[in-house]
Order: sequence, then C-alpha cells, then structure tokens
Amino acid sequence: MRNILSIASITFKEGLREKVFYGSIILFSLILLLNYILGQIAYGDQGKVLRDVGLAGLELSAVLVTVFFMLNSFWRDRESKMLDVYLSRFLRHEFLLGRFLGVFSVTAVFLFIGLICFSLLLFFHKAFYFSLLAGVFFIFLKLVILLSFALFFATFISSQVLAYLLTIAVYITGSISRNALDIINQEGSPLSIFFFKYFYLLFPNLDKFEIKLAVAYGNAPQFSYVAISVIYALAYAGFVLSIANLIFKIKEQ
Amino acid sequence: MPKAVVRVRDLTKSFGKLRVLNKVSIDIHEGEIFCLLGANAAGKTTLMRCLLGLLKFQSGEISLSAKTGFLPENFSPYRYFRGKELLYDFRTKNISKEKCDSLLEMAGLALSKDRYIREYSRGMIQRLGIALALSTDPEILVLDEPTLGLDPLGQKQVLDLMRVLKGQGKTIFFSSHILSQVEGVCDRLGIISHGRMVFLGAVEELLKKKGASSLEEAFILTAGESDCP
Repeated sequence: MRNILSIASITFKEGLREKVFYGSIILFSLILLLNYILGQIAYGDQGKVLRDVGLAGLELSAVLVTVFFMLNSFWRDRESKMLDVYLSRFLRHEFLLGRFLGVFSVTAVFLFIGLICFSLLLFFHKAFYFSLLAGVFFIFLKLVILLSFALFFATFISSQVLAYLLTIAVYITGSISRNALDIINQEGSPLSIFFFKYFYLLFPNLDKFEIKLAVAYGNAPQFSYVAISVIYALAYAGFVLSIANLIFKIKEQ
Repeated sequence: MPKAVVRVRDLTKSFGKLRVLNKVSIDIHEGEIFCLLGANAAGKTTLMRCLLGLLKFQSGEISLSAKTGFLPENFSPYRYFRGKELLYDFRTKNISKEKCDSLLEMAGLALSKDRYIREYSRGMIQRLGIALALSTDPEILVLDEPTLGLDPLGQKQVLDLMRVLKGQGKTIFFSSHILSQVEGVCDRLGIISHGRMVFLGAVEELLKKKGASSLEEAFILTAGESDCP
C-alpha cells in the first residue's frame, strides 16, 4: 500500500506542476467569462443558463485536462525511461493503481478549484444552488470511469494521440448510447436492436451521470441514486483497471 | 572464488523474428565492477532489461542473489521536481530522508539538492539517477550507459562515483561503448556482439588473447571477428 501511495503522490505532484493543469484552469475561466456574457444577454432565467453552461464547461475542461494528463504522463514515462525506474522497483499493479489514484486526486483538485470559481460567479449573481455540488460530484464519477479507460488504452497503445482519441470516443459513446439505443429500438431492425442492446451494456452508461440540467433547476438527486451511481462508477472503473492490469502484466513495455 | 551475485545462463531473447540475445551466459561476482561492452544494438540494454525482469525472455535462466538498483539509458526524470524530492518520494521504507541526503552528498549534489531538475546539467542528472538507484539500498547496481552524452568532467565524476560505491561493497554492472572509460574502472568485462557474448574476462586477458596493444584494438578484433559470417 505504501508503494501505491508513493506513486500516487509523485503523480499528484507532477500533475499539479503541469502547464496543462493551469492551461485548463484558464480555459475554464474563459468559459465562465463567456458564460457570464451569455447570461447577460440570455432571455429568461439567467441563473439557469449560468449554472447549466458553467457545469458543462467544467466537465469539458476536466475531461480534457485529466485524460490528457493521464495519457501524457504515461507516454512521457515511457519516453524518459522513468517507467523502467518504476517497474524495476515497484510491482506492475502498484504502478497502475498509484498512477490511477494520482490522476484521480489531480481531477478532484481541478474540480474543486473549478467549483470555487464557478460558485463565486453564481454567488455574485445570487444564482447559487447547493444542488450544484451534486452536479460536480457526478462529473467526478464520470471522470473516474473515463480515467480507467485512459489508463487501459495507455497500457497497450503506444500512440498518445490514438489513445486520447479512443478515450474521448468512449466518453462520447458512453454519453449518447442511451439516446442511440432509444432510436434503434424505434427504428432499427431486430438484429441491430439485439446487437446494440449488448453494445449499450458493454459501454459505460455515462448518461446515468448526466444530471446537469436537473441540478441547474435546483433538483438534487436522491441519496439512493447517488449511492447506486457511486457503486456503478467504482465497479466499472475497477473492472476496466483489472483488464488494464492483465494487459500491462503481459505486454512488454 | 568470489560469490556470483548475478548468474545468467543461455539467455535467449527475440523480438519477433529478430534474435537479440543468443545463449548469453555471464556471472557477476560480489563487489566487482563488471562492464558490458558492445556496439550499438549489440544487445546490452536488452540483457539488462531481461535481468531486471522488465523484459520476458524465450529461454535460459537468470538468478539474482541480491537486491538491484537501476539507472536506465538516457534517464530523464521529472523536470519540475527538486533533486531531493525525487529521492524522498521514490525511496523504499527502510531508507530515511537523512540517508537520501547522504546519497545526494555522495553523488556530489548536496548543494544543488533543492534546485529543480530542469536546472541540472546532464552529468548532474546521471549522478542523481545513480543516487536514485541507490535509494532502495541495493547490493547490485545496474547502470545502462551511465556516461552517455557526458562531457569529460561529467564522465570522470560518474566513474569516480562508481569507484566510491565499489569501495562500499556494491556490485556494479554497467554497459558502455566508450572504451577509454573501461580500462581504468572495471575489474572484468564482457563483450557482446550481435547478441552473443564473445569475450568474458579481465582487460589484461583480452589484450593478451588478442595480442593487442590497446583495448580499442582488442575490442575491434573481438567484435569484428563475430561480424564475419
């Protein structure tokens, strides 16, 4: 356990010193600024626009920073031979878990900073709802699954760009698969319905974490829904990490 | 007869159809500095990576009777870490921060341990890498091309550090293709060419066997012979 925490701590420190981390905070600040301007010209409930667009901006910048950092750090460790240093002194599963926990912590810090900036803007506009905390927590859960996929791809794909694109593809597929399944169910052939049903089950159901609109209206999810979502995110991430570990053990780095 | 702390027997490793190591056998004795010499792509790094369990091999046996520390070739640690920070974070639980400080001092980095690694010269990075390799308290140090890309002063500092470590009873297994360094520092050497170990022994034995006046001449004769079909 000490080794896993050591690796997580190194990854965490590395992540907080990355330019991309600060770049993403700037990106999110720009989104907030744009959000503020949009809020000024929006027709109707300005607070709702601020909350909805702000959460979407936070999710977008968090996805970009954490997936990029996860893949970039893995790729850079390969290039700089730091991976050899890790693997010559730690077990492979310790490295994977430590790396995952480190990026997980970077994600949490990023979301925390984002939440503070976002909340300040909403307080200024008297548009803050406590339900937004649940919205940010659900973004975090979504990212936990996404990070496990990023790590999974990093273990066997040497091209950083390809691994990045595949992770983003999982994110998009997981976010829209429910809608796609509904359309297929209505208009598809029996064969396509059959295949798509399993496809839907196999891919992460990220739509289950999509509560941005509800929390923008001040509706927080029930505790049971939060609990089930946490269990689902952890179980799914655990499953993907187990497969990543198997591949990482077999594959020569 | 000194005790062998590293034993490699008939090690064979291929990448696809390319055979990189072909029945390589070596013994490295406790407390000695052993140098693995070879041209580029001769199989030096592959042998070291197999030894450390970083690569799987097709056949043969490897036994290590002590803990190892490793410095990879072209080692480039995190630029935004301070020198001491890297050692503190990577150390094993039996190594204290004070011990890390003493390792940095031994590596000649006591005054620059608080500086960011991005401010280090190549030679300082290599010495930091050796200190890092020592931060698991290993008996055997495996150093892959530790003097690669260093200026003469940097090379001398690394070689001096290796002598100090030998004096402390460490076994050092390093690879190089810079012949001038080998004579002064190593107790025995192995020459690897196209994945085959073509010579094992002391520098004097090699010179005598080849009737050569310099190590360079002896190396060219030895490695060159194995090039001929």
